[in-house]
Amino acid sequence: MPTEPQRYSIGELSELTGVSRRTVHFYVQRRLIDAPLGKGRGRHYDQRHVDQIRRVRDLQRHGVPLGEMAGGGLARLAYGQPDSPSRRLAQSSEAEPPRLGAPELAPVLRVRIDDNVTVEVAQAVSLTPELIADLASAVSAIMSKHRGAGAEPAPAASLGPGTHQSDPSEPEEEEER
Amino acid sequence: MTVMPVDRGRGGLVASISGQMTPLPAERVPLTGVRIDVVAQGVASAVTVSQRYVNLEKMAVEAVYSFPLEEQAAVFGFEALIGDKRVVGEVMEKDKAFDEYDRAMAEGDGAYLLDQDRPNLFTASIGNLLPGQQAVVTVKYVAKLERLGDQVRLKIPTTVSPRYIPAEQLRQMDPSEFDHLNPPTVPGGVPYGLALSVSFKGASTVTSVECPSHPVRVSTRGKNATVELSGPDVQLDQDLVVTFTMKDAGESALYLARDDAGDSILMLDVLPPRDVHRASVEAVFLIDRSGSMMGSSIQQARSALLLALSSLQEGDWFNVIGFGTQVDQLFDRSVAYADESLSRARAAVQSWDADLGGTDIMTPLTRILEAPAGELPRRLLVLTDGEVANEADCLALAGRHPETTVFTIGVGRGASDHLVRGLARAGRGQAEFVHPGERIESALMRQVARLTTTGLLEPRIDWGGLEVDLSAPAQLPPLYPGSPLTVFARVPGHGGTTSDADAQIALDDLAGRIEIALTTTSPECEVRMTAAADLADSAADAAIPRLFAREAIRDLEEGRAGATARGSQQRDRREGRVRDSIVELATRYTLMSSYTSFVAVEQREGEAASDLPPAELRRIPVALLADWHGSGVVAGLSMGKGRAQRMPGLASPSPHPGLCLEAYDECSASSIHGFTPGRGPSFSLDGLDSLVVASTGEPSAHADAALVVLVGHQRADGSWPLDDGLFVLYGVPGDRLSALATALHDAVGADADTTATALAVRLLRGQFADLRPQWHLAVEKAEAWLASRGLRVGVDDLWAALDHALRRWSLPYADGAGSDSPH
Repeated sequence: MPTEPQRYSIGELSELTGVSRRTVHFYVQRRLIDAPLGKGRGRHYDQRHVDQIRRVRDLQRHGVPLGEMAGGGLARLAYGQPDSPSRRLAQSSEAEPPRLGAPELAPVLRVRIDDNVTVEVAQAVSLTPELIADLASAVSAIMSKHRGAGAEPAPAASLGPGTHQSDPSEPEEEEER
Repeated sequence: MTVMPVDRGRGGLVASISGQMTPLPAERVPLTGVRIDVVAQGVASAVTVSQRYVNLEKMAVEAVYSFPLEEQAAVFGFEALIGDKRVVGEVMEKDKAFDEYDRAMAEGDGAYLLDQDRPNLFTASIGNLLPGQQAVVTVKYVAKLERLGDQVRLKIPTTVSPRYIPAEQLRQMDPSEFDHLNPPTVPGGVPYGLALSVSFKGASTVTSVECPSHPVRVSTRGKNATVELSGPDVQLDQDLVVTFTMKDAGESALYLARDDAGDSILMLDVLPPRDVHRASVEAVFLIDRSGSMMGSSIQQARSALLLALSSLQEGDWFNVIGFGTQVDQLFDRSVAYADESLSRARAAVQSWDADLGGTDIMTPLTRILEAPAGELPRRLLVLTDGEVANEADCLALAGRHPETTVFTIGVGRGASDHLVRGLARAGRGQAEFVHPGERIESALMRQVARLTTTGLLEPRIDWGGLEVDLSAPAQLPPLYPGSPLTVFARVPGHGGTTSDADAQIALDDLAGRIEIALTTTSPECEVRMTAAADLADSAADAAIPRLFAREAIRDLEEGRAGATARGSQQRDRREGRVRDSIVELATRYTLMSSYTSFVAVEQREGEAASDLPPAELRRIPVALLADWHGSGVVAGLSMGKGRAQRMPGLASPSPHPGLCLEAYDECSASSIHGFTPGRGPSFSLDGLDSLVVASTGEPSAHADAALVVLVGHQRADGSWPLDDGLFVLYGVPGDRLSALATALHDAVGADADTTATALAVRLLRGQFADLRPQWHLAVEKAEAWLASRGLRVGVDDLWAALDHALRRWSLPYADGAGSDSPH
């Protein structure tokens, strides 16, 4: 007879995974992990949530930005695309973690152009709103050109990862530098 | 901005900024407006921040808004008004509050949570805002008024700036904390605006009101003044700064109030005497040159530092260090203050830019504080915008090195008051803030005056036999001339007596005659005070118990109270005790703290609320700080956008109308008008032209730039060279300068340097009289040098001869000369 799956409260989940209650909530709201099971007072978490949180923490430790995991993106990164680095990571915890771009010493600021493109700029550069707008405009033009005629434009830019509704059919996120 | 923590090896930060091309979809930003009402009177300002949320979407949303408050804020109220239903927040231990919030959300109730992420950064979560629903959330706090001489300064922050997070901290940081510290940031404005009103009541007649940050409407009547933003829906993209100047400086005072449990709270506000005695010191200037300092901040820093360098004296040692991710240290270790080292420092500072990367302040702080102390007392001055996430580490480091006194200046439109004030608290110094619309030089010179004072005045307080069960700050900082010190003490209620039966004192009987003695290590400063407050009256001032409790919590949060511990187990136990003490104080006085949050629940009935789909997160974007990274900066010592708004009829006209003395046509070709870009010929003064070109051409900027040039030519020993290229700028052409030198030589035997020095002093006292705080140390040094010249006549005769010659040639500054002149 199968045993009843273990059920966890948010406090227990927090203790098991070493992240705060607020972070569990934060991950759910950003769709980095599944919503709790049940409703109202019967709401709970299970082993799947424990595994998902551990995976998110792993990916974060290995430098994968939360923005790239958000909006269902974690599932896509981890399982959705056969050759995605995250899938390899998910399959083998021994694997060398993927690094996004070459290691750099200088701190950077990231300018998110749209859901698919983020530009990194050394913090020493004077990043004025005008420059941000020019950068966004130029990069968007390049992307449209390479997407070819008839390609749909990128979805409306989001304000943050929580509002990010990624379409899994979109190409893998990429970076320009 | 999207949140993207990345490990970049040694480098840190990383905030990302939205580069989106599409306009912000306003319907997805449920925050529609912010209103701030300030009532400032007595010892504190009482502030109400109201945030209006409206859900225009078809599903329930959870709105999460991270916003700044003053670091001094004692947040005591949080409530939500939903239609005609008011729910009042309760203070709870942080995790309990969150559980309550999370549970309410799961059950479909309205849930409202307020967290403190930093003493100056808070996050409000509005859970389950239903389609079409509106909620007005209010946050209430009190903050001690910041007094400086006859002025009171209000600084209300409005946005959260991208900050530097060291890589190590980034790896360990709780993701939700990171999210709160880095709200989505958008350049070009947010779809909600700010309305603000300030009502001020001074201790004496208000003589002027200035707002260097925003256009405002001001009205005054006697001791009262009101200030309102002059446009609707102002962007929340920089601090609001208002300075009220009153007829008289306040006096030392003792206030008495009763808390809800019946205990008495004493608040002692001491204004130390202004006299200072100069001592030799090791002065280390640590200047933030990170990218966030670009624009007006680094320009301010450069000119201020040039003045500060001129204010040191022979006998001092000094060093100048710039930092970002890299550290640019002028000398390997501090060096003696002499002509050669001074010239090197001036040349280096003029070439400085904000080009050293992220604000990695720990590296240079560690290097400076851990260097072995020399014979001279070490005084560190840090100038920064403070946009870092590791404030706690910085404060702890300064606290571990009491042999170095730390002074700070926060610059820019949104300097982090937690780091800037916190470092000065931990380093037992003082903090100052300067908005780009204000003169940094004044603040800097006040700091230089403090850091060069003889042995610090260490205060001790005798509470007059009262049984004090808790006082704050736990460790009294030194007294600095002209800077008020505020101390709180709690005396248990009706049992407020000493254990000595003969000396039993019931506080209730003492109204009007409590004597508190504050003495210092120096016999020059002793303050004895008698309570002026009456218990019955003072009970009305509910701010005092809250201010006291916040100060006591701050002591605990910053490790200045509670036992010290060595081993890891001891440390854990100590942390537990500190946490318990904070929670106890915070719940008793209904206050936010690092371990407590406010939570309010709006019970919803009648519908199966918990069957609704989960609320969608709506992270409220914040506006990118105005001029962040130098955006929108015009070259200048003060910014165009934030020009000071003076109250009509009360502001005095600038005494430096262009500084060009029009009567002296022969000098106008190279007069001070040359400071205005594009006007007059350019000129070079030992490389100072870069500073000169940076002037906006505004009169006050002229005066500041002209002053920096003059003082920038003073030698380490206090003298000036007889440089006709210099003095012609101030209306004394070369031929007249030579004639002046000859006349003074014939009259009193003055040599060329003596003439130049006397003339420079006369110039400063006459032409720059209202900038006295900026030059008085330089003049003191010059006068000491003149006195040591061994003139064949007295120094008075030198001044008489100088005035005689100036009058004879109708040169400026004759008679002048001077209201401020002692001669």
